[in-house]
Amino acid sequence: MRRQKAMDQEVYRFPRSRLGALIERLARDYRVVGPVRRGAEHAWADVGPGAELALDYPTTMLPPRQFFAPPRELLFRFRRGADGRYTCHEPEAERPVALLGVHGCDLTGLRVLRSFHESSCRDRVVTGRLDRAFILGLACWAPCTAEAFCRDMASLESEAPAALYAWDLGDVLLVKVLTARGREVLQDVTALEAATSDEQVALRHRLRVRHEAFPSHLRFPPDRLAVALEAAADDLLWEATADRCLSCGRCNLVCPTCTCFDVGDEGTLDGAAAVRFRRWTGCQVPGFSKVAGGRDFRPTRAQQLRYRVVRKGKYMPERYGMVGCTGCGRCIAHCPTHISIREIFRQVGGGGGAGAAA
Amino acid sequence: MTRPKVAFFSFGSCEGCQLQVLSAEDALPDLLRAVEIVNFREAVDERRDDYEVAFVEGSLVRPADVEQVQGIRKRARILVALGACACLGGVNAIRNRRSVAELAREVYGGRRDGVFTTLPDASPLSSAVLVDYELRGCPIDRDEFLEAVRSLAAGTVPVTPAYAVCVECTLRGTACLLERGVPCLGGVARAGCGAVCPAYGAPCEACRGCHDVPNFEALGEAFARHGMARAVAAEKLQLFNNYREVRETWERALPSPSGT
Repeated sequence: MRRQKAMDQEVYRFPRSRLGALIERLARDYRVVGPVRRGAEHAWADVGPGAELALDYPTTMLPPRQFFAPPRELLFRFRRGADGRYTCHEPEAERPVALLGVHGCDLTGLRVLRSFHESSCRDRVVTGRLDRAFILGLACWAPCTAEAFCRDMASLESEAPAALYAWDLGDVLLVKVLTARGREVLQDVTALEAATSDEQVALRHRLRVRHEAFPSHLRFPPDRLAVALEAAADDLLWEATADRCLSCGRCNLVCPTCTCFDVGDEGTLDGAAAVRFRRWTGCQVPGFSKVAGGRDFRPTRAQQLRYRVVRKGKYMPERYGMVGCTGCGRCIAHCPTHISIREIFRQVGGGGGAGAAA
Repeated sequence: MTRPKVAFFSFGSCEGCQLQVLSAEDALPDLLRAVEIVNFREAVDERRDDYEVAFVEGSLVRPADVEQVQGIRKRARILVALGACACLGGVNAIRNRRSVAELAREVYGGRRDGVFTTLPDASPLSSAVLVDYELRGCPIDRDEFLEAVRSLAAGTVPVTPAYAVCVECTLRGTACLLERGVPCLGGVARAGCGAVCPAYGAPCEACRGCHDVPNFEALGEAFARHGMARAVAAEKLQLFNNYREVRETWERALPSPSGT
C-alpha cells in the first residue's frame, strides 16, 4: 500500500473565509451535506443558508452511509394497468452528494461500505452514489468521545475516498489534493497557494501532539481480531454481555459499516399501485433472523451479540477484505447499557497469546 | 374485486382509535371504495351483522362484553384488535391490582347496586376470543390501520414491527432521552408509532406493549445507569402493561413500586 507523508503531495492553503465559496461551488453540481448543530448534538444535514457547516463537530449519531444506502429507499414503483399487467418505474435520478468534513473513521466506513456492495451483492445503486460523491475529509485533533478508539482500528489517519483532505489550523485549513476532481474544485475557489513554512511547522507539531491525544486501548493490531474471535467462539463473555442487551438495535443503526436491509411494499388501498422500498435493519433487531415458517436461525441474544462482533472483526475482513469496525465508538456511546465492542475486542485479544505481548 | 364487509365495535375505551380512522380524512374516499362498512356506531346509521372483518376497540370490563365479543368472533372471519385497550387491557387494567369492592367504595361510595356488574379484571380481547391481528397503540396509527386494510383486502398478512421504539428514534435522529435521565421505556417498547413521543421530548410509555424479546433486567440496568430507580421503570410500565399476563412478563425483573 502506498503511504506518503502529507508534505510530499499537493497541499494548499485554504483560508477559512473561503468555505462559503466552496459550498457555493459544490452546490452547482452536488447536494451539499455536512455536520450541522442540532440542539446539543450534531447531525449530517444539507448545509446552506440557515444550516451552518459546523466543522468543529465531535461526531454524529447517524453515520454518513445514510447518503449512500439510505435508511428508507424507494427501489421502484409499480402499477397495474387496465389490462391487468403491471408496469415498473425507476425512481427519479437524484443529485450526487458532496459530504464536507468527514472524519477518518467515517472515511474508512465508506470504504467498508463499498467493499461490501462491490463484492457481495454488486449493488450498483450504492456504489454508483459513492462513485459520484465528492468528499472533503477532515483530520481530528482529539478523540471525539471517550468511546472512540479509531487509532486502535487504524482509521484515524484514513484519507480515501476523499477528494480533498483538510487539516484545520484555525484561520487557515491546509488541504491535500487526493483526486483530479478535488484539484478542479479547489482551483475554482482558491489560488492554489502552497502552505507557508510556518504553517507546515504548525501542522507537524499538531500531528505530533495529536498522536499523544489518542490513547491506545487495544494491544494488538486489528488484523489479529479474526483469529482472536475464532478462539473466543465459546467464551462465556457472550452470555454475560448479552444479559445487559436490550435488543434495541441502536448499535446496528449508528454503525458506519452495517449494511443489512429489509425489503417491503406499500400500496394504495385499491391494490392498483405500490412502491417497493428497502430500509435499514440489523442483526440485533428483533425479528431479523426469523424466516418463513416462523423459524429463527439465530434465536438467542448471546448468539446475536456474538454475531455482530464476529461479523465486524472476522467475517467482513475474510469476505470483503476490510475489518468492519472503524473504532468510531458510536455503538458504545449510544448503547443504553453501554455494551462496549472495544471492551469485547480487548477481552478476546488481551488474554495471553500473541495479542497481549505488543 | 368485491369489497369486503367490515364492522367496528367498541368495549371499555375512549373510542379514540375509531376516531383515528375517521380522522384519516384524505384516505376515507379510498377506504370506502376498498371496503363496505356495515356497522360502525360512531360513524354510520347502518347496523348489519353480515361482516367479514371486525375491528374491535376496547378492553372487556363487564360480563356482557365477553358474550358480545364471542358473538362478534362467531360472525367475523377476521377479528382485528384496535389499540392498547383491546390488545393489552390498556389503561383500564390499572384497576386490576385492586378488588372490585374496594374500587366501588372509592368511586360510588358503596352505593353501587344497580349500576352495572364488573369483571374482576379489565382484560384484552385475547382473554376471551382468538384475535387474528393486533393494531397497537394509544391511539392506533392511521397509516398502520390503512396499510392493514390494504393487506387484508389483498388477502395478505398485515405486518407490524417486532422491534423496539429505539429503532425509530435512532432513524429519525432523536437524541436518547434515557441518556438525559428521562425515564423512557423505548428499549422494551414495541415500535410502529414512528417514535413520535420522544421526538417531542416525552418519554415512551410503551402504549404498544413490549417488542418481541424485551429484556427487563437490562432496562432496569439502563435506568440505574442513568440515575433512575428500577422501580420507576415498573411504575411506568403499569400505565399500559398492567394486565396480569402482561405484568407477569416484567414483574420479576423489576421491583414493584410501593403501594400498588
